[in-house]
Amino acid sequence: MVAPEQLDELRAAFGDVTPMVEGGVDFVFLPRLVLPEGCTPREMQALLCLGQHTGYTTRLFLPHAVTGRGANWSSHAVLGKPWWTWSWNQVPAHLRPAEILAEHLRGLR
Amino acid sequence: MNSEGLNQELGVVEQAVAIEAVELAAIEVELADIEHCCLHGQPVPRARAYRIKVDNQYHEWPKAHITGNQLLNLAGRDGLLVFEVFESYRHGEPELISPHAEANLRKHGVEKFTTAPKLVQVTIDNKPNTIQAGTYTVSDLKRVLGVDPSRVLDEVVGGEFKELPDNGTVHVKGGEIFVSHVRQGQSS
Repeated sequence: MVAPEQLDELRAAFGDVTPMVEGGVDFVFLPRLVLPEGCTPREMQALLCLGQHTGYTTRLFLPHAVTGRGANWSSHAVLGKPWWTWSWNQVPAHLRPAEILAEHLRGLR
Repeated sequence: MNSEGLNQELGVVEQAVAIEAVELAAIEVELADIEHCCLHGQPVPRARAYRIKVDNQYHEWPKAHITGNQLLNLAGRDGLLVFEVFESYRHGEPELISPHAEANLRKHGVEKFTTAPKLVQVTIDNKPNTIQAGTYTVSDLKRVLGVDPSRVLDEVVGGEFKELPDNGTVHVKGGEIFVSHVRQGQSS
């Protein structure tokens, strides 16, 4: 379960975020995430996975692959919807969700 | 310019000269020391210049009015970090003078002026922190916020994480949200 103060930190930045759980793993749905400069498209929804998923310590899922950024994009069914993510690993699950998100976004710069 | 415009301009100049002449005629002393007047309960006379105390340093000012920015400039507080200036009275609480507001040096009871850092609240790693407003290099901001220099500092603006390079600068006004993190993620 995501700590309320950690959800509040994300809410301060992204508005009405929603915690979700699938297979015992915590996720946070972000209704509007602005991706780093140079990404196309710049804005989209996002699903931050805060635990182990498909061999990765944590992951950031997006509704579309980002053109020209990230490598080895793959599609996954998560929480009943198709999501895309790229090959970016070693972001530990013990960090705060905001730190995990910041580190994943670094992978799109 | 036609003759009507010229006449109008001339009228404005004549008016300004007349006001200046009235002010010059009204001068009572060469130098009015506002601290001395305050301490002795005397009104501040019209003067050619006014002696004012700003942060324990004395300055002469050629007008009866001075803006907050001009006071900050006299105090040497017009650098990258933001300071506020206060009007102090012999009796009563100091009053803030905003940068573009004018203080009247002839106002009864004004003793001196003091400056103080303008403090604002920001959020760093989900915790509030009070720091001085102003422009910082990112490495200085990390030090002020107590962030380890090896960590990456992001500012969150409008739903975007903006990485702040160490050699960059950031202007802190208050209300900023910062997140620091260790470079750990890597392409696999």
